[in-house]
Amino acid sequence: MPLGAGQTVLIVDDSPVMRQMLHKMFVNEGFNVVGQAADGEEALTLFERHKPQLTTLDIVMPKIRGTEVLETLMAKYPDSRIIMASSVSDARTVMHCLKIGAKQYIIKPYDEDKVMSAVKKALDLS
Amino acid sequence: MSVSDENLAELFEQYKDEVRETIGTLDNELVAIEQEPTSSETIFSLFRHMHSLKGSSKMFNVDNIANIAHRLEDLMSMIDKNNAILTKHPKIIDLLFKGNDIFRDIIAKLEEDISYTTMTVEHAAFIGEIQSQIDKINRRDSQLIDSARKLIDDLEALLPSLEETETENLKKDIVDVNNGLTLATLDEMGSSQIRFNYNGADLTQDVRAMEELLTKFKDLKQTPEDADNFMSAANKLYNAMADVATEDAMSLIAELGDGLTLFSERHLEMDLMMVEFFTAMLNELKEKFQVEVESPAVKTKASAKSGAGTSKEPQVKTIRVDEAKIDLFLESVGKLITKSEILNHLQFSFRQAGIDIALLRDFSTVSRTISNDIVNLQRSIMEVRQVEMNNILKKFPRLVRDISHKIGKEAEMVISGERVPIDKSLLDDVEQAMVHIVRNAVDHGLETPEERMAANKPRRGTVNINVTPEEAAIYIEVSDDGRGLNIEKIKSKALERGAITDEQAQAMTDKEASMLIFNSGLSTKDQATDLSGRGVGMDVVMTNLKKWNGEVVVDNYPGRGLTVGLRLPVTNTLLTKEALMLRVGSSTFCLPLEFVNEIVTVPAEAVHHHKEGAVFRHRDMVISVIDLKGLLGLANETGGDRVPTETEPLKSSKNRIFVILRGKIESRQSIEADEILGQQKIVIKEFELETFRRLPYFNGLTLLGDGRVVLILDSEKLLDS
Repeated sequence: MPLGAGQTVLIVDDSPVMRQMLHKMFVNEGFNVVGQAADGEEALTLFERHKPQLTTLDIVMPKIRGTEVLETLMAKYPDSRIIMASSVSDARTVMHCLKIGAKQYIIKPYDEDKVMSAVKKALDLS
Repeated sequence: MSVSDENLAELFEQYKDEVRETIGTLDNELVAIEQEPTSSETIFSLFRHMHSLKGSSKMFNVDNIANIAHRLEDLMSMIDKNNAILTKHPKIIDLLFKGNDIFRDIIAKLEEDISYTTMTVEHAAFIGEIQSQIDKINRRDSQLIDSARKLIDDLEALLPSLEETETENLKKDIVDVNNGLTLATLDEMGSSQIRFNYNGADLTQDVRAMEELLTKFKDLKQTPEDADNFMSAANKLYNAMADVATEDAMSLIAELGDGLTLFSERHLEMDLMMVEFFTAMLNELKEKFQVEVESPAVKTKASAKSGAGTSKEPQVKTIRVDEAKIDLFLESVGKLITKSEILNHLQFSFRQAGIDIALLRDFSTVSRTISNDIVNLQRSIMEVRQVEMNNILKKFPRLVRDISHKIGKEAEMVISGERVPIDKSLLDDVEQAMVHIVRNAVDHGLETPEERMAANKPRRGTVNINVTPEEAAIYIEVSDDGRGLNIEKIKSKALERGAITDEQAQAMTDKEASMLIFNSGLSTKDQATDLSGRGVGMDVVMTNLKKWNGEVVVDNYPGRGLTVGLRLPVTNTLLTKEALMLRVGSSTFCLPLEFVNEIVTVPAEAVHHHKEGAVFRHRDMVISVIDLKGLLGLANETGGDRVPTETEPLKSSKNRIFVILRGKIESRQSIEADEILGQQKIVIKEFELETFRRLPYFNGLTLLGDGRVVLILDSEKLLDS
């Protein structure tokens, strides 16, 4: 049984290979990946265009940092379901993201189990 | 997992391509950083690439690249926080080039051998090199510590041969250095030697329990119960500290509490991330603790964060109080003041009723004491509302730096009086006014370095801000050593714009002309022209100052600089004022003493009536009389040929009483009173009803001791009438 049922997903990461990897994970689990962004600016544009049900968000990226993207999105769309997916493991950053509304925070390296476990919690899937 | 494994194999080729691309970019950026070692943009980009390399390499289990990139990321992160590092340690760039070569080599070898992912001896040695570079930056230089220790030993050996006073000083110095050393070496000592005491509570065991559990998690040796054990230990610590913590630790504890809540609410798993989070929190908390070192070598107590130097300062205990509560309290004090006026009034009634003199004197003493106590009470609560001028001043060095850089000038900012207190309510307006003055000083006042050199001045200009407390005011002075104002140019600009007439320009003193820089017609933002030395936004200064009854003084030294002084009355922020009680016709008004220049009695025949109103001569000045009764609509009592009414039988028909008003500019205007009723302390209540607020010549009302409500005259508005 795939986990997803066509829920829309936006993937944000500056590394193409990381995006591909997440893309494969989501597609395998029955999600609908509607966009992939390589920097913070693109992330905001694509989010506005697709209003995805779920977003995975990297932090260290060109143009606009992921934390700022998160702040902007949470302020405008407080119901957004966003999973931070980054190799930043600094305690304050983790706390800050969770506090302002990120549903989950996963640290690279992650595997499909870890990602899907976070997705399950972020989307309240049983 | 099976799907992921397939993905990994498929994606591995792409990973290698990505790393190759990154290596190319890194080469270019490294060349660029060598040219411009402080470029924060390039520094951040280098950091970001190391970070990405680490992340994706971890994903594909390429440990060697992941580990090296991780350490280089740490290094770049330090440089990102302090971009002077590369200038001081240029060898770092070589290190980064070498790292990039190693990445290139690994990717090439991976083409031949897909298992070339583990660390070689060469890789480990390179990581060692990075680490020693990081240590160098951190100056955790054990050599330094050793030499400091040696110094102490030498000094102690010297002690017996010194005079007693010198010995005392030296001893103190030694203790200071020793304390500093304790802090510097805390990290190096086994943690088992340190106990954690917080305000008398020994929390060593709880800290120790958490640390042990964290180590277990880190080594992935935890049992399922350990997560629960950790949570309960953390909660226990959190509760224990919340009980005893002082303010500085409170925010950290709150953060720890938030962390606990978030982790349990979001069902985050107890994995390495959580371990890192709590380790970091715990470390910070430990730093804040009163640390007692049980080592026999160093028997000193030190507060870990603040260092030894500050521990000598007396501790100021602070509590947080809601601002609204203070205002409420102030209001109660205001009511008390009114009550004490009732006592004064009673005293007056008693005297009239012929009460025993001794009794009256006792009553009078008590009444005065109460009144004094209330004033003191009010003063101390007003102090609660005060903050230090530093709140405003700290922004100026940066502001001056930014403006002068932008326009190619060199300026130095000198500030004094940071600790002078100011009422919170004034902060914003004063800051805004000062920003305009300082901006204009740099922008229009200071000359370019070339002009200054030509004028035999130091290349670099100086802007001085000096704040001085006066008895009933704060005086803020902003001065620069620039070109000063060009008075003639100001006058001609003012004429040109119709702000003054030809005659006015002729009659104007230089001092008066210099005040034109605050004229809104000459200095609005949209007319952002250089007004021979000053201009933009200076009208704001005047508006803001007027709001608080402040005054502005300008001292112009052509060719040498300009000084602008702002004086803000402190009494203005108090709710009580000394006021004169006046009877005008059948009404009583009060006029705050600060608006009273002089009270004069003038023979009736010396008052001359013109079409424009009455005037009289006083000390060679012609004083005009504001027609108060006319203005206030006490019409039937208006006019020069007035008839004394029944309510003013005591007034001499020969003499008339005038109160000469004091305004911001020298005033030659007065109001007439039928009787001066006395002087008393009043509590000003601002009008709450819109109808009252529209009353043109009053700015509030007060309640007298006998219960009457009296309006307070606003002299500014009267002078403007």
